Amino acid sequence: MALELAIPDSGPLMSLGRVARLDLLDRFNCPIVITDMVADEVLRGLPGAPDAAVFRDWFRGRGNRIQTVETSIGILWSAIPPERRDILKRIRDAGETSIWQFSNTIRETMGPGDYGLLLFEESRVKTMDFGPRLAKITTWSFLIGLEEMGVIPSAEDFHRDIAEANWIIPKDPFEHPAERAESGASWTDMYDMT
Amino acid sequence: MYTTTQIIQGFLTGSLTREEAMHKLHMSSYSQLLNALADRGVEPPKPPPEQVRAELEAARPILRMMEANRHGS
Repeated sequence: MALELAIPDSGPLMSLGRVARLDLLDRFNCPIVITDMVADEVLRGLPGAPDAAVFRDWFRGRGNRIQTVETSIGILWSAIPPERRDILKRIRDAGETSIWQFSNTIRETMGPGDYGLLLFEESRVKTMDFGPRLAKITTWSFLIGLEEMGVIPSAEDFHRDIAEANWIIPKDPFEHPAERAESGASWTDMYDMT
Repeated sequence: MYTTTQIIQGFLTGSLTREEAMHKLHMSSYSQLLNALADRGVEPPKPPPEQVRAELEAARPILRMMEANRHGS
């Protein structure tokens, strides 16, 4: 009865990928689930994104620890011919929408008290309803947690390193628990801080 | 106390001072902390009753003066 899934949005993946610290996600003692749309965003390479090879290597190197899940929007997207893919510019929040669709899937399938953790940076995610099974945490809140646990020496320095790699993380210390998680449950319970 | 939620909870329950919480959250102003609370739908902690009483006591002469002006006009 605890954190069962870590679900990073594309923002945190790009932030950590920029400074070659995707290993900080490996420390979750649970599967890492990436929706097909988010995987596409990081592998396709949005403007300012690190080389897709960083993510390809990470996906490959972690075997079944990292799972890519299909969502309706991802399936639709993959069916669009490459020459028509500029349509994505007109689809807002495609990655977040795919996570929202996945949250509907897990809503009734997880055990009592189990929950997933969504890592994100887009501020609109704060007000999106992902159901009672998903907790939310911003990259900045995650970094502060890592600093408090002694996993990284300084959230501030980490933020600066990412900024020097031309990527800005909003300093937003937002965190929201999953409604159906047990009282007092924390993502740090399932995080390897050694 | 590791997470931002635990830090904010510590502030709300009084185990962390405002300054300690702000330091841990890398905040430079109290308004940032108030924003973080509002973002979570949490009201800021109320000041202790003795502080409220002292503030009211300090304001009493000004209130009396305002009242006198109102009647005098």
